[in-house]
Amino acid sequence: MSADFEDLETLTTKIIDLFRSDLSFEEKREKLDEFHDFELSQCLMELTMEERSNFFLFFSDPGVANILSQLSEDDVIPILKEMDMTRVSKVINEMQPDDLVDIIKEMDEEDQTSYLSLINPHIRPNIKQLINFDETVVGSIMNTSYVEIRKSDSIKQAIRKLVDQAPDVEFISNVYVTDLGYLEGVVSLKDLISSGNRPEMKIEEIMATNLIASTPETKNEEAIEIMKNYDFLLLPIVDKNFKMLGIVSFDDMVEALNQESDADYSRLAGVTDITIEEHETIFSTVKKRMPWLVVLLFINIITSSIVRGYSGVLTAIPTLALFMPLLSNMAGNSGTQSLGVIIRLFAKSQLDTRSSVVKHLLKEFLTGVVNGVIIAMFLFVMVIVMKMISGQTLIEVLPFAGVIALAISVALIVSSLAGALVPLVMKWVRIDPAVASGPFITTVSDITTLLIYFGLASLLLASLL
Amino acid sequence: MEKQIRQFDEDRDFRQEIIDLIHSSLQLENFSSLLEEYHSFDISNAIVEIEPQERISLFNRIDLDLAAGVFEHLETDEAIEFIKELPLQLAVKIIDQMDTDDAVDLLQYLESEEEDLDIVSLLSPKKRIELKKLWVYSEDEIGSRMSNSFIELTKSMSVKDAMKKVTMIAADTEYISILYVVSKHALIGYLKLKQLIVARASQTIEEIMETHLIFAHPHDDKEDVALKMQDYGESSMPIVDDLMHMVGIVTYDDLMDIISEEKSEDYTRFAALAGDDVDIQTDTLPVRVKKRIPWLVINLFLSLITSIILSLFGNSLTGSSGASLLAARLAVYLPMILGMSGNTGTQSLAVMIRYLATNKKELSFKGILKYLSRELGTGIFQGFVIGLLVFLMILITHMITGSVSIDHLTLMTAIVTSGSVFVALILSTTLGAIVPLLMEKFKIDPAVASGPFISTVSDITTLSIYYSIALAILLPLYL
Repeated sequence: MSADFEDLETLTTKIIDLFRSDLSFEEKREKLDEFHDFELSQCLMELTMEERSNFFLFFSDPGVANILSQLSEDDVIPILKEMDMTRVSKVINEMQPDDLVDIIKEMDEEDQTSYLSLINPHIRPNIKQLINFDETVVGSIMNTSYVEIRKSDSIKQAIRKLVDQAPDVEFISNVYVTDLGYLEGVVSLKDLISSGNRPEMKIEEIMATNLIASTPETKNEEAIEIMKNYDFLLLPIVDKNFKMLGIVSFDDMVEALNQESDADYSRLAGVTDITIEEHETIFSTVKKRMPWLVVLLFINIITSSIVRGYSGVLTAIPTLALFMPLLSNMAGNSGTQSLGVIIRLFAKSQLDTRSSVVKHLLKEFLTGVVNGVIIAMFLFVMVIVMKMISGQTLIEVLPFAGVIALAISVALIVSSLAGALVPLVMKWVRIDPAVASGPFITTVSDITTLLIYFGLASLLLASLL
Repeated sequence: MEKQIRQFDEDRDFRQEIIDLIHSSLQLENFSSLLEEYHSFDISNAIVEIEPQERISLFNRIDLDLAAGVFEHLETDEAIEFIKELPLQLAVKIIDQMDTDDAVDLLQYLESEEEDLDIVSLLSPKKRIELKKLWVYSEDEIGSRMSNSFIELTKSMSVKDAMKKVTMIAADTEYISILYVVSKHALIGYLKLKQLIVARASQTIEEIMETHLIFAHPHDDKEDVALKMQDYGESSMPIVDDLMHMVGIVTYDDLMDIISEEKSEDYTRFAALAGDDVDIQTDTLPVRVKKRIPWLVINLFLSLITSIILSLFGNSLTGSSGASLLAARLAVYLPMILGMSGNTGTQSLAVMIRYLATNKKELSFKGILKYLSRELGTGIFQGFVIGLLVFLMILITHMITGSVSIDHLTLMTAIVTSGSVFVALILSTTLGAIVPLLMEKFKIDPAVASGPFISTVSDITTLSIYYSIALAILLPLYL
């Protein structure tokens, strides 16, 4: 056996070659069965429509459900649509509720109704409930299948229940102790199994009651912190009366984590979607980036008119223009930094109270002051050196360097405050805070910086002329 | 019987409960069993808040296993501080109980701080051997995150015997959800505990095991392995050497740690913040300043290049009234042009960094070429549209502020400015994609090419383009 892990491309080619080979149906089925669901799912996209429908003949309904669950929603929907309706209804009823919900959520309203009608009546209400949760909370990714036992069960009875329920449950590493649906305790599979040599002992004796659970409205970010900190594979989800609603598993959590960090990232970069699709065209790339650029261009009319408004000072002191890009760049950077901080704080729900907001803004202000003073000192020296190299005397340069240093410190304070304030204001007035993206903040800080720079210059320097 | 309904209390503060417990009951006989009701993570949060004297007495009284668990959850610097407080003998006992990967971390830092402190030689021989195995891997290699606490089965075992083995050793094993089947130390298959539980007692392991192996090598990059685990959605992955001998496993909790570390690291770098993540609790004023000032200083020096370039061009833009007029006009559109090309650069940079992070393994020359040509195409497309809009904007503002008719000079200024926007956007879009690629090539983390860095680079190129074109075409017209 080779010790090298074959890369995905080789594996999918292998699967496709096998599928297209002359082997008998039985032989093919046996061999295909050996591959992992993820690998099988990856070759679906490479097959023709007709081949795909033949491909599914090799697998049971749960098998097809598992393979499709590995794909992204956008890929699954067209595949489901080309499948025969009776097979579809069998397959989707075998899917884990959370995967199914993800798929249905992505459909248009008409399809949603028709697919919902294919789902078993006894889990349909469940699915409908899950569809309504916002994507950023755990309700949207929770799974409603888990192993349930009672505290009065003996170890032996509990293990029997586990064996009965296990085939329909994705993760069994924790077994939940409930009474009429209310969560009372949890037993890890490890504890349950290691108690196997004392079959008559009651579950009550080994269950843990210091429960850590979340509600469906808990933010994904908070839930992942909990799972990470407590090394949980599963997190139980309960309502406020501790009625058990479902579980969240680590794999869904990781996926949610990915989506959320993509969202944070996109926002900082000012694109609507940061990920690149397999066969993305120039046009779709442009569509993700252009809207922002056009908006920003129009905001930039303001910067042009500010400079035009101060053209008097600018022609009187032409050296002012030399430091214009430097100032707006520095201010833009510190605005981006404080925006970067507040996006993370939003995501982690650390700015939920009024006092935490006030405290944060105060700290941003002070950070701006400290950074502003440090950078101003550097720049002050740099301007003097630069000007003296070009032949001016210290007395000539001093007022100019002073104004630039003052301007940059004020600009840094204002922009680092703006980086935090603008998203907050947008949240208050209920404009999608994602509007306050990195490029937007830089443009806003360009405007304030130019005003500060030229304002100070005309106030302090023009009188010297 | 009356049903007692418990209310879900999100604000239940385990940390505070533990602190109170320590203050009230540390001297009680049953303190250890009271504390054991809590998770070691909460205990680790609580002991940061108590006096060193209390900590020492706490660790003296509780089970070594729990103490080890607490140390595993501490931040490295706190763990070092607390372990040094303890009597050496106790410290050694605790480290002996810790997960090997966490113990390695702790010992490596301890060694670098206190060179004459030799804890390793005091550890049990078994732990020493385990430590040595992990010691050789660097922080970025998956080997550094391995655990060796898993269950091995042989293929000839019956389901009944396998179950018996699992029952016996489960309590002392860290991870039991997947069981590994080995033959002469080589990995030949695996099965989920779930499959074993539902299998018939008379079946053999060989009949029910999966033989299509998914694995990684200890020297593999930890982020690559995390990606693979994610793709396959499994809760653990075996780590094997070249002979397929199992050297350890990585589990879902390592996966979550690796991914969230990577994400927040990439993100904070992109926002030009030093450090790993943002937290309102620990980010005091000095911390905030320390996270931001390094990038600001670097950028200040880089930005100075823009001033120097401008002063070089400035020499040609003084002397006559025409030249001064041109200088003033160019300055009007300067912030806009710089802003726009900075924005496009930031966009394409961010997309490229994310692309590199998720497709590290599959990078091919052909793929890169395709990617770059798409960026170029995007740059041309966007440059054209934005350039056209800029052209119209200049003419319209001229008509609003000044005369209705458009003179030759204004028309040429509009053409040159929008032409510069066109070129600058193409360049900064491509630059945003090429810079991280080059960094990847030279093994620098591309996330270092943060947004602010690229916007400074694009400032410099854009400025040079704008002024060169303007001086070549417009200056003769203005004179």
